[in-house]
Amino acid sequence: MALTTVVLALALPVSAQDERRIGSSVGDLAPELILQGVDGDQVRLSDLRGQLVLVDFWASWCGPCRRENPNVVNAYKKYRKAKFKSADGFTVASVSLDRKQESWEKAIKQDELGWDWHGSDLGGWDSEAAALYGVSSIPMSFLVDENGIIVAKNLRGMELHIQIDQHVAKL
Amino acid sequence: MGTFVIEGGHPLNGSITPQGAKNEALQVVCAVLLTAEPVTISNLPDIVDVNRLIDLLSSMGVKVEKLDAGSFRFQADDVNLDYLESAEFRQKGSGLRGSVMVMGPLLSRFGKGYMSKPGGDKIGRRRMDTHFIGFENLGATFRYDAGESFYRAEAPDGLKGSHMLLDEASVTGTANIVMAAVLAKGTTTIYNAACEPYLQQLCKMINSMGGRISGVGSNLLIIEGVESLGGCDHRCLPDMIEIGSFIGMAAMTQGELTIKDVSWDDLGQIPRVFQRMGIQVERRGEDLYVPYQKHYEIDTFIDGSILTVADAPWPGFTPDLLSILLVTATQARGSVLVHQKMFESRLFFVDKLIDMGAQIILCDPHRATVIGLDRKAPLRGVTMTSPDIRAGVSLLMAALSAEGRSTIHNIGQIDRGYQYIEHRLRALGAHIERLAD
Repeated sequence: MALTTVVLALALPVSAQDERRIGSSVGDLAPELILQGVDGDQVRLSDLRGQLVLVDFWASWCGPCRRENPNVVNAYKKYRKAKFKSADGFTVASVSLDRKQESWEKAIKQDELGWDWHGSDLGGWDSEAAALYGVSSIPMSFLVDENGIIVAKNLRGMELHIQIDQHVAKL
Repeated sequence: MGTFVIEGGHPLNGSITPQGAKNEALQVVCAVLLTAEPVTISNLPDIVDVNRLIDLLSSMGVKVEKLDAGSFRFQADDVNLDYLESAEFRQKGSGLRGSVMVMGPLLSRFGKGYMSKPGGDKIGRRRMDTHFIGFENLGATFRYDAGESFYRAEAPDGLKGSHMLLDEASVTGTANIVMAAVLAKGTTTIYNAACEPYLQQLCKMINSMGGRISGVGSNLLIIEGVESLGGCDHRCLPDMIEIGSFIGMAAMTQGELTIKDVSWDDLGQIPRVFQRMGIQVERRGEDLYVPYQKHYEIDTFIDGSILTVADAPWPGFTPDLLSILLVTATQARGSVLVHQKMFESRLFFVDKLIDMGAQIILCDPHRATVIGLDRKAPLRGVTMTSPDIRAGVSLLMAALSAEGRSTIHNIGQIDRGYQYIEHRLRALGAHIERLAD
């Protein structure tokens, strides 16, 4: 009897997580992204599991995204060394809806998007990543916790900082 | 208004890309008024209603730049509010139903939103009460001048969030209230909100602009007001009404069609309802494939009784496809009762189909029973006039499948909703010509 209880207790959190829906709403498990990086190597969203991750959809041709970029850069600089309650740090995964490799790379440099995870299928609006996340307007972002669960979305301006703050133990 | 001459009996084969969704376009184009920053929208359909709305915004002082086919950049940083009082504004607005959705964003951003009583389809009286009661709930004063047919909503001290239960889940009403509430002080909850994909698109776009709308996709929207909104880049979904029309055309003309990039997850009941008509519809990635079928047989209910197809607010079957489904049924094997619950005069066009040889009993203004001919006799080409957009396309479908030549007058009604329709159908093998007046 005692053994059964232990097994159940161990099994429950796992099955609860298994049943979580994969989707793009808050509370869903964020869909996996496997994309080409800037240098041609593959990048996977699951490689960042354990950290608090801002999945940020943007494009070099999107003016509003470019104007939002300094805010994302600020958040990255502010939080990348912070101590979090349960996550092993904070980083950004930028998904670009560019079509041209050149313009994509140039915008990353220009806007000083200094994190490592940059991915794109160079599909523009036909990007499969955008379809997977139901993205039809950019900028659009998803804050994904250390377990891969979407905890907030659509974070512009101060809202991004406010949401990240909730996960911080100390700066 | 122009005329189509169609020689029927030629199957439609090949692949076709649906245009951007008209009903989304009208909403998201109005939403550019919510911010002074540039907003870019792509995949806008090149159709009269959308172009007229863009023209109206441009007259109001919104900077409009065409970037590419279907792609426009808008910037509403210098809106001419005096123009709203002008005779020209009244005249331009009155011919265009979608224009009423400029009221919500104008009211929330500038404290006043005006519009003439809109036109649009002759498909029964569509009331605007839902919109205006919603504005009043947010603290606006509302006046209607019957003499001038002009609506005025004003809120000089700004709008305040409130809880409201809509009397009907009106799509344009919900859109208008959402656009008013995003810049209101405090939180607004809208229960019995419309939740169809195009309204979801509007909410996603506003969220991308910095709005805070949750509950998107449900009938309870929660909108936390924000001080201001920024720009964004947005793309419209494909038009589900076009997709449904092409499914029907393929089946009726015994063709084989691939409809590209249909955004399958946003089609709701549509594929299933056509499947119940006996039409095979296959998902191939994001494409929808309709194979050649000699016959298609209408399903019955499980107990064997005659199938009823009725419209309902999303996620029910859209009223815009009922007339298309009805025409498709005329050549099916079996019978179906089409029940148009939401509008009262959309079924009168069946007279024309009866003239063409279809077996239909018009039971009352809301219901028609179709007894499928199962291709034992083809429809016959006739001369007819298009009463509204959807019936127009339904008549066009009937003509494409009919034996001999048909003439459809008043095709301006079709042009209001479908871009380059004759060119696109001709590319699939249709024999269709446009005659100018």
